[in-house]
Parts: sequence; structure tokens; C-alpha cells
Amino acid sequence: MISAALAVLESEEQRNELSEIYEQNVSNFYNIAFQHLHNKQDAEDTIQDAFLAIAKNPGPFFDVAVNKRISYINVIIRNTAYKMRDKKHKVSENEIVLDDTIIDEQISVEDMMLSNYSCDKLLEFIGTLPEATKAAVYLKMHLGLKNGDIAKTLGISQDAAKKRVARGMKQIREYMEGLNDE
Amino acid sequence: MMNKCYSIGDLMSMYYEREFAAVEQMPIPKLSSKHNRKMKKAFRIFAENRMSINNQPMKTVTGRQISLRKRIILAVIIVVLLAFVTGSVIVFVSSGFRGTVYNDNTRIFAFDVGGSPSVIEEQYMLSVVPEGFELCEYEANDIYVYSLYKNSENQTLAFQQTVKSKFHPHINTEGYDLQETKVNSCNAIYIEYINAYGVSSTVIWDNEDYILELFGNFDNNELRDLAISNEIDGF
Repeated sequence: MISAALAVLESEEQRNELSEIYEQNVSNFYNIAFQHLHNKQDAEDTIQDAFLAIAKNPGPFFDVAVNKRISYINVIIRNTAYKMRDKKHKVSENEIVLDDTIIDEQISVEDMMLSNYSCDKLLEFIGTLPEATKAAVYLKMHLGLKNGDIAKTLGISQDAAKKRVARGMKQIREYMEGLNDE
Repeated sequence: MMNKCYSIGDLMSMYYEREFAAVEQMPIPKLSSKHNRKMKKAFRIFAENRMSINNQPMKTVTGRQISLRKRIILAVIIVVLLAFVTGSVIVFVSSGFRGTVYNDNTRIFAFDVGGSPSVIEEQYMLSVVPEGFELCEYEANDIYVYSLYKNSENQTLAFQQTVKSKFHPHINTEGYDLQETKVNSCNAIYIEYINAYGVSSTVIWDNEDYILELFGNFDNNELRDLAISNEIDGF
């Protein structure tokens, strides 16, 4: 009885930061999803899944600087779209078995001196990495999220998040070394 | 050649900036009501989790947030007043509906009307209708949309869409009980009447935007199946 009466008092319309971002950028989010899926229903599902993942674990959303939140959501939507597309085409990404001694502390964050040419080549190389790897490296290295938060954001295990970051970093660094040798 | 200094974080950001800038910005189609419902649900979950993580109060569009303590006190006052006014009050509560039970009927209200349209913004019509039934009456205004179907044997099937804030019908519950159910994951209730005239039922469900009702000369299973078919197929 009390709960029924409480419900009456909770009917006030409420908004929040996430719904505001959605309302202002829905066409952008839709176009990102649609670009990879070419299907309205799948694009809608992708946006729903991405926002639900953020809603269930809003910690990283608040950890990310306000001016980077749209990019953060864009990356999640893109990653979700890739996952949906792969699921439909029954593509599974095998986790590369990495040396367990690769730990966060060994992930170097030092800056690199690059010419414009090398930078373009490197961006081109980044484009060839699996989407899940790119997203994990982006969340870790650009947004500074913890492995646990990356895992929850991408819907993977913490171990898988850690491996993806390490794998991506290793591949980028190896490519860098190759560029320097040229 | 000019060299610049980049971190891997910078490079990843540059990569995604280029990728997103290259996305073709096309006008988007009207998103489905199912999508809108799911997004509302996500925003509600976000609001709940946000409170527990950041201990930040919800930003409200209108009015001030009432503290839980005050809400409980107000709720108790409402219940006491109701009991005083009516002599004795029996309250019906399900996941999506609440109601006041009287001797021969129950007045039903929807829970959680916040965020739902205050007028009919999108009119629903049944996309799945039992064989042989044809539309014979239709009425619509800002508050509800009503359509009545009949077959050659004069059996009836009615469908009504009502804005949540204006939904408070009296349901005949004399000798019958309202039962809780789900219609394609939406909170729902139904009631089935069996008497000398045959079987008839009412199914009422909350699709988060509107309250939808089906009633007619069907048993409750048939009517619930019809409701689910229409939810899946879209209105």
C-alpha cells in the first residue's frame, strides 16, 4: 500500500546527462551504427545495447572528461555494431594467447616522435587492427579507463580487456619500430 | 621533415576522429516505439545507478526532488486519508498497475506515468486481427484511440490506447480477480469472465508510452496471444 502511494509521488518527469547526449546526437549515433550494419532494426538495437551497457555501469562515463563523452559513446556504438555484425556472420575473434608476464606497468605510455608520413602510416596500420583491440586501446590509452571498466564497457572479461590492450600496444609498438628502421 | 610528438592515446584519438568524421550524415528514419521504450529504460537504469555511484541527485525538469523520508511520510498520510475517506480501503498492486478495490469493481491506475506522452502522439491500430473480424467503429481524441472489430457472428474485439496519466477505468471485479501477466515483456494484467453469455476477457498492458487494452469474446489466453502478436508485429 505504501509502495503504491510512493509510486504516485514519483511520477515527476526526469532527465539525465545520458538522455541529453542521446537526444542531441541520436542521428550521429544512428549513422555510425547504420554504416556498419545497413539495417534499421540492427542500428536501433546497437544503440540500445550500447546505452544499456553505459547505464548499467555509469562509472566510466563520469570518469571521462565531459568533452570526450560523445567520442566515448561513439566508440562503444561502433564496437557494438561490429560485434552484432560479426555475430550475424558467425565470426568469432580468437583471443591471442599472450605471455602472462605482460602487465599494465609494462605498457609504455611514452610519447613518440613521428613525421606526418609516419603518422599517416601508423593510423593506417591502426585501422587494420581488430575493432575490439582498437576500442580497448582507445579506452585505456586515450580515456585512461581501468581494465575492469574497459571490460564492463565492452562486455568482455577483465582478462580479455587486459589482453586486448596489451596486444594492441605490442602490435603498434612493433609497427613503430619497423617504421623507424625504414 | 617536420616531426611531432604523439602518444598512443593521441594516435587512437586521431584515428577515431578521422573515422567518425568520415561517417556519412544522413537524415535518420523515425525510430520505432520499441526502441524509444528501451532507451527510456536504459536512462532509468542509468539514473538509478548514477545515484548510487556519484551520490548525485537527479537533475529534474520540473519541481524539486522530495527526500525519501518526506515521500514515505506523504505516502502514509495518503493511505491514512484514503482509509478515513472510504471507511476501509483495499488496494490492488501489480508490477505495472495499482488500484482501489471496491465492492463490485476495481479502479485501475498506471504506475510510473512520468516521461510518457500526455496526449496521443502516435495512434496505434491492431496489425494482427483474428480471422473474420473487421473494423466497424473508430474513435480518437487527444486522450484515447478506440477501435471496435466484429465478425459475422457478432463477436466483438475492442482495442483502446490511452495516455497513461488519464488511464483510470473501473473494471468489473465482482466475483472475478485481476491477474498479473506479461505482454512481450510489458507489465500487464488480465481478467476473464465466464457467465451465461459465454467467455470474455480483458487484457491491459503498459508499453511505457501508453496503456493498451484488448477486450472481447475471447478467453484470456487467446487475448494475451493476440496482444503479444501485435506488440511483436508493431502497431
